[in-house]
Amino acid sequence: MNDMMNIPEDNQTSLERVLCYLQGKTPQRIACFPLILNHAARVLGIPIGEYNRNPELMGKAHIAAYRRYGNDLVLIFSTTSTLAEAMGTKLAFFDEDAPQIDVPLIQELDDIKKVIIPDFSRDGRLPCYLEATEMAVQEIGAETCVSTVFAGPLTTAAALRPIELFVRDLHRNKERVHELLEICTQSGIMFIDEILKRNSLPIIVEPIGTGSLISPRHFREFVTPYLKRMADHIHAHGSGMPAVLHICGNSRPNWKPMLEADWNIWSIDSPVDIGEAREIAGSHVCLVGNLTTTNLLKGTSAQIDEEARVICEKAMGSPGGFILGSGCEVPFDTPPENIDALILAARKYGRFDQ
Amino acid sequence: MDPKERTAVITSLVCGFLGAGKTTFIKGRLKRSKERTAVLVNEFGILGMDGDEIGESRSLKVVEMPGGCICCSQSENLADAIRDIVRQIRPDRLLIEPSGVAEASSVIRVLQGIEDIQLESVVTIVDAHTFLEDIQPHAFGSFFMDQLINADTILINKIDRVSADTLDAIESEILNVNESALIFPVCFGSPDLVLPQAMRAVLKESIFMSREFDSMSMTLFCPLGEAQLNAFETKLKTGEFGNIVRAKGIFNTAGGGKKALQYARGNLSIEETASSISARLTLIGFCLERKNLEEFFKKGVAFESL
Repeated sequence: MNDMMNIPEDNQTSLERVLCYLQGKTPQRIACFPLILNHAARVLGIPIGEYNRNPELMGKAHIAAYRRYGNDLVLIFSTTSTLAEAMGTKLAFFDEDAPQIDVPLIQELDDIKKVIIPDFSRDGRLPCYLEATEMAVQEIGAETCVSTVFAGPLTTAAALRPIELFVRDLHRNKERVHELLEICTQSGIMFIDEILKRNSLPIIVEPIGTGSLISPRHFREFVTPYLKRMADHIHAHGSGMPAVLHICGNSRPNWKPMLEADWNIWSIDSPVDIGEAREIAGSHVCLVGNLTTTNLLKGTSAQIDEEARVICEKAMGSPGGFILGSGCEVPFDTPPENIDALILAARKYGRFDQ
Repeated sequence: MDPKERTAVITSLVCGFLGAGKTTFIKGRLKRSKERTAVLVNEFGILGMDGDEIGESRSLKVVEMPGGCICCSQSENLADAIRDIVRQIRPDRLLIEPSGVAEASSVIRVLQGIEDIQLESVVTIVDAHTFLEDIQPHAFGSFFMDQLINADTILINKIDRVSADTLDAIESEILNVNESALIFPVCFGSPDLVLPQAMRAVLKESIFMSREFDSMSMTLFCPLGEAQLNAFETKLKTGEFGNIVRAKGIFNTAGGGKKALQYARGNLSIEETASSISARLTLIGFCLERKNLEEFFKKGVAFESL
């Protein structure tokens, strides 16, 4: 009770808080980005399977989640395979789970010629994402930062091909991989344009770029150049929006080639130490993270508070900026009070007004 | 420490990259298993089980768990899937085949947090034909090494496709990263497959594994003394534990120290060790008699007085 009484009420909206980072100003307190993705369906009380296929429900779910939690970033997203789906990979859908890859398009390498650059008004569930984005921007875009999330070129390519074959292709069929990455980059850049048109922030996720899957050498060859093109495009056409990249898992081995891709904000996962990220990358990027998602799902509010306190202790004052967040997607069934605890922790430990 | 109660389902993790032979290994175990076995696989349709392959009078449940984002939130899906299998199907045994690019250590961490199961063994299968290319430092991310480092049994499969020198090189590379695992060359091919003459000359023991090959690991909770080790060697030779081809382990002695044991080509050798690995025994062979082994090693020092 005493703690709560000592925490000042927020005197900025979510959007004002986030804009401080872009404008080089100090906010009242750090922003907080619980990565609420499919969990939004729980807030609206609808099955995940309906959330991720119905644009109106997807938009309403994220609006409801923002109204409930006050998260400083809204993320329109359902699965990392959405762009690949529009380009030809078949997904399987479930009532209470995110869609999963069922049949990748490229079973033989020559199938690369079947890959299409999608029509964003028609293919896969891209229209669903874009309509949900429009809804969210219209309803809450003046209060909080709305973003639209999709997978980067490597992850999209890996969703177009069976993953183990793709990982092997990186050292056995380099030219074909580059051919595929080029198509995925072009598609991704076009998607960025569609997102920017709707005044939403494009966020790219590259989980396949994690250190457990690909080596730093392969990251530099197959990820950096394509991610850099996307970052450059956002810088050139985003009207000052930052380039925001999320890589899950143990991204640490690939931080050096990641820096070369010129992204402004890194959202990092709990297996890495945010203190070390600050040392290595903190002068170049704003860091977001990195509360353990299983803690969010199964921990107590006190445990979440303590983990967040330690993260803030390590990352507050990072030269490029720091935003407290979940290390990866907030699990579907996270107790709402645990997300509240994370945001409360940002208000407690992330203040600049003392 | 007391052994975990047997109500926990004995579980094996079978790891390996694309084409190493994980699925063939699992099918083989299922075909000859006398127990109700559940299999959890990471991808759709990967096992393609049919009546012939399953064999007769087996109660088998294959649970396919789609991959999704391989990094993070899937750990809870995996844990939930396992709890569901154990509580609803109640198998005697659980085999888990994660994605070929999964880090074994991440999966093991999840499994160790599930009370309903007891992780008995981690088997990693490698493809002899591609291994020396795959183990190059920049070929893959850390998953490949992680699967080797965390295995207690490493099977070098498809040895019919490599020379004896290549096999030596493979074993040497594996020992560099995991010196405590039991490493064994296998060939999960047709029983009629004939090895090149040069290979047969080098490998003096029978290494043709159709699908009858099996492996198990167990924690050795009790210290072992000389009498019990002698009895162990006798029973290995008489077949009371099955047809054991190779065994390797670390055990505690009554005096509080540790020793290493190896069984190969019909001989048991014991030597001093400075290893800090906890007491464990891994065995490979045919028709392993698990219950006999577990009963035997429960006796421990008390054996000395028998």
